[in-house]
Amino acid sequence: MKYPFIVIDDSPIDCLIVKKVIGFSGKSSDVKVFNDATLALQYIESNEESLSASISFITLDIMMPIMNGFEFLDKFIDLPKSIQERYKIIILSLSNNEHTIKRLQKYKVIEAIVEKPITMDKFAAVIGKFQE
Amino acid sequence: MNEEIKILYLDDEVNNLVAFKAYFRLDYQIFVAENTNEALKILEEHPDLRIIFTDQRMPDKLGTDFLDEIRVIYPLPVRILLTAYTDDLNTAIDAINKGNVYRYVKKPWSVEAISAVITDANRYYLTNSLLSVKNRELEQAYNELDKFAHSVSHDIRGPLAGIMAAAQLAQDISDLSEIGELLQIIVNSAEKLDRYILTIHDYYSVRRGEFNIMDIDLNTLADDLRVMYEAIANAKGIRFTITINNSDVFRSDEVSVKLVLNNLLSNAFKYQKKDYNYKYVHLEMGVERGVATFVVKDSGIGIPEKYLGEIFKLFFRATLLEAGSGLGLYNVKNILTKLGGQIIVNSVENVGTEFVVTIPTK
Repeated sequence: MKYPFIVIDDSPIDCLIVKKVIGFSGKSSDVKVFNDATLALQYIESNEESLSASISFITLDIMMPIMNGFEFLDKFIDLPKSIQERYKIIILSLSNNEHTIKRLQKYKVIEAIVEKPITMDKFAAVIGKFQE
Repeated sequence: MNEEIKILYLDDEVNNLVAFKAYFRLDYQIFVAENTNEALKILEEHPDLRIIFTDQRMPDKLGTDFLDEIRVIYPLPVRILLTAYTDDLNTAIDAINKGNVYRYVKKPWSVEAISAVITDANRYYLTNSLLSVKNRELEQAYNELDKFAHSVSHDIRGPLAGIMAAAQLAQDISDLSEIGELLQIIVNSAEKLDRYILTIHDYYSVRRGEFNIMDIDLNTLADDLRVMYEAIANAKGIRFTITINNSDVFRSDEVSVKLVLNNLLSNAFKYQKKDYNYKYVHLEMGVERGVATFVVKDSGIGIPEKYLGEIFKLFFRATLLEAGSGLGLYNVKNILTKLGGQIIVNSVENVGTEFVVTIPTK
């Protein structure tokens, strides 16, 4: 089963890495990259993805200037439920500090938290778990 | 006259006010008040008042009550109580013990007694205010340390994570062209990390640095900068020009001046509009009447108006273009503050930005 992916990260280098990992995994039908979380939100709101697939994955970086991961999540949970249900959000975080983790756990929309650097194994584990 | 030492004397007997002012106005800045309302007005206008003398027995309020009240709103001035009545002694001692009053002086007061008290009270004031200054500096230092810890985690681990991820991926695949791409990612990340560490080094040297004041020749400076930016200007198709207005004598710390200019110039080259045919960076320098002015102008992406006040703050980034670390302009502001200089920014989004730096000669 292949899914579309949306990658949200301000660092082009990190985006490239995530894209590669997703590509090599063979689990993606399409990858869209957004450096700007606000643009990603606009795209999600437009609900274009529903035309092509039933479930899409989002990989979300936490530390970004202008709109960070938390701000994106706050806006995401305000979207209509029909849109929210289509997306599984994977958090890619550089820091594993308790404070951030605790804060993230408050968001039910998060499917998994993966610590950077992302590897093929970590990625496969998350998708594998979802598919069970 | 020591204008810095401001003293307020509150007394309902006007003769005392006149006498006090007459004796001390040549040495200190004296303010007098006949009642507590006048006293409050003076306190409001001069929050840097150092010493307050007040009479105890006044028709509208007791001196100790007045001092008790103002202690909360104006905690800094040192409070002295004056009274002739031995009945007031207990109240005075009480007030001293509560901390509301620093000293009590017997009326009728002598010039010598008052002078002695002023000297002591002023010393006490200075010690206390130094403490609060140090406290503020400490708070600011902790604040910056926090931001640093945050930044290190993100801006150093970030590129490192990129390097690790790319290396691990490269181990798992066999396609040579993919491996080539991954190696490029490793190189880019390593360079990014190196640049960041250099900026931190700049931050540190600005904070710790001592200045080496010497004559700075604007023409030599211009030549150096031209050489430095020639390659990148050509590579990116950006027109780089330097003009020098009158070149009077300018003495300052050359390393610092170069740091400021390099920060501004590298930003100007970095944040250009992508597909623009008339990209330029222009540097204008001049010294007039002991002040050097540097203007760095570019045809770049500009800075949104709402951020113009924030860009000099530590680790602030106004754009997603991750070329920035958020340290550069902060370093610039720090250096200029130390040199007694100033910086202003004008910018229009999508048109360009202009930084104007002024540095007085030392």
